[in-house]
Amino acid sequence: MTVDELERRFIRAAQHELLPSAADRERTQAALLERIAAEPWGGAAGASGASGVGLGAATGPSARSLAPGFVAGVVGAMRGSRVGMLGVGLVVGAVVGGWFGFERGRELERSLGSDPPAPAAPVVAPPAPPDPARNASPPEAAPEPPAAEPPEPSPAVEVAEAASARRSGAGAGRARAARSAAATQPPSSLAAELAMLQRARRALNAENGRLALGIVEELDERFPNGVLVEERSATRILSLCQLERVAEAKQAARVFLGRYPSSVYAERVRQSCASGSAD
Amino acid sequence: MVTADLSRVLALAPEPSRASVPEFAEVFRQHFDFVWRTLRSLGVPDALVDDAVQEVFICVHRRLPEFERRSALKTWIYSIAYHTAQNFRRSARRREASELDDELVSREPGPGEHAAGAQASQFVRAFLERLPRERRDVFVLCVLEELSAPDVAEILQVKLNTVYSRLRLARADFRSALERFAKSEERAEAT
Repeated sequence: MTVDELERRFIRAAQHELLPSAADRERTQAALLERIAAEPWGGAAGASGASGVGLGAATGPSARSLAPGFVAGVVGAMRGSRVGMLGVGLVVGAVVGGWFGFERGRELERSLGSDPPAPAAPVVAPPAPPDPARNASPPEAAPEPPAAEPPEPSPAVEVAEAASARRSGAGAGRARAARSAAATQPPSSLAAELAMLQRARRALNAENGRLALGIVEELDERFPNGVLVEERSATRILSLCQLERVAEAKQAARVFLGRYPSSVYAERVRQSCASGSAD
Repeated sequence: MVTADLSRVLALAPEPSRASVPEFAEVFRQHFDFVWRTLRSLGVPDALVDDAVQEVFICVHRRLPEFERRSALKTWIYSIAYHTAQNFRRSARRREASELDDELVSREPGPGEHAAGAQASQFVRAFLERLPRERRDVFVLCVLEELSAPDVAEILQVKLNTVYSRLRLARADFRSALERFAKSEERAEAT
């Protein structure tokens, strides 16, 4: 075989082999839907709403709703089997909103045009934010979405990196397999992730930082590419504070605030034991 | 600065025109495969591809209403994917620098294996990971993604001649690697 033939063959092989599988597509699609449905679009809603409403025109329940339109539209266009995602998004908004001071939940309510869900629990202390790239500007912010927001590595990235680091000896094939195993979380996994975060929150309420941190670490293991990584990161910081692991809390807070400077949970983090050098 | 670069790319979006806003679902359907492949080719670690692809489409979803020229959409999406890849691989590079060489060697296809698509693909990926970044970006976009040189120049924000120059060097590197591979295979068959 000549080098020319070899070149053509290898390029064709790479073009084919590097494409995603059907499972990759479905997994990414589901995660994307979850993120958009759960995201407080804020100012971005104005811009994104056009496509959202357009997508959802046939089935979307509300003309002014972004997430339902988007979810229904994409779901309908792509597979039609994930309508439950909207419900999951609502639950996330309600519970996380209730947990973290309602900001996120209220914004989600507004964007969904639904009745405000009852807070899942009394507002406690904690944390948490929407991830950087997920973090469209807060609701009150300018109508122009921070489009220029570079897709900075999210906490999910951080966790994935950590997980990957633990697999340091693994080759590309094994890494890919591990990613598939870890990241192939069915839509229902969001509910499981959320339930664990609620447990962590309750542990924090009870001033059981050790348990809360343990749950956060378990989340890292079970959901390395989880949806609620921002909330998780904030919970980690507050847990560390309860355990008086101030240096670690400050370090985590620096990373957190660097990635989510406009997070609705940033203030909570700044008021924690990590406040000293959090800024 | 990647942030500034991405800002510039996004600022290139045409003025909003609701009448011609492409539907996100359609955009996702048409471009998902290529975004995925581009991110992998540009060096985003497998473990992070899911996240990186999501970041690309979250960004696309937010900014999509600003587009009215579908002909520019593909280039625009590739631009976002390119800058996203830069962010992700930068963070990964810090961690993996020391591990990379050994891993690449182990990924090289062995004698007689090149006929298998997976091994050929691994060879290309190993080659890309060794290639200087600027050449790799051009090689991926021009050769693997088959984009035009002017489009690549726009995506990378470089002059057209720079694209041609880097492409020429990258192709030469690739052929050298293939020649070495072919020779090693011949030696193996001889023994």
